[in-house]
Amino acid sequence: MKRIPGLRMVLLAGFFSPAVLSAQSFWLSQPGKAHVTLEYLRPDFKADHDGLRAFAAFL
Amino acid sequence: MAEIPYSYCRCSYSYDFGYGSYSVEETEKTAGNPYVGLEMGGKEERIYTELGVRLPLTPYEKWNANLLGCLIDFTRADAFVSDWLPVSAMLNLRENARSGLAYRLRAGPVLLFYTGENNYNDQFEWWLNYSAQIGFETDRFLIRASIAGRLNASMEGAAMGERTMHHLGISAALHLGGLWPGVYAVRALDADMQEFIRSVVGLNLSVELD
Repeated sequence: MKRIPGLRMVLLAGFFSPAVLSAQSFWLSQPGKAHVTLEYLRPDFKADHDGLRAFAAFL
Repeated sequence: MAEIPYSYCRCSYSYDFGYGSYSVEETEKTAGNPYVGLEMGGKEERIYTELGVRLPLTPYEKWNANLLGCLIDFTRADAFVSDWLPVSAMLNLRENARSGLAYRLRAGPVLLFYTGENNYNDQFEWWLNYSAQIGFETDRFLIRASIAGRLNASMEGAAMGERTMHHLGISAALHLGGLWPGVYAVRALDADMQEFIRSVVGLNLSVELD
């Protein structure tokens, strides 16, 4: 099976991060206040699969 | 403090042979490395520190979901590295003026200890995370802008541009009773990062416990 260069892989995804008593979530936290935070993040994510794997080596 | 990360990834592969094409769709989901840590510093103190560790529980086999988790928020990429034990220590400096103007600076290392069985793998790596945030905060709402970056300190010999990643972020939230519903958007600043994730948008909801 031959791949044609320039084929695109599209990743659609979400990322849930509920945080208990979180001040770890820097952008959301209220200093000194205990709270529970639920986050949902969704990327605008388009990548060639091979390119993505190559880039992952730098992470 | 604790954090439970979770990643869900749906991948669509499209193949075009000229005389026809087909596509394959895969889904992958995994819990990441949960964070447990301590935050040290009083409510009114300008300087506070965070010490924490992530339990290395995310499975190596969940490759796509883990990679997505790393890319979508590289400042918390250690939540989705498999076979590594991340230990972090962050120093925070914050100032909240009576006018509502507020800023924070945050920086510190993330130490990664290899827990896998590959003897040829590096046994230790470390990153330096850093960020700056400015905003306007009242009892009713907050709006913030930020820049965050990460230096891969273990990539010796690589150019500085290859060792670092940066993004710009904005966030806003309203105070409704004991709830803080908010929105969040991030724009990647590095050209190589923009090839994969140009931007990230998010929703969040905080519930005050005290």
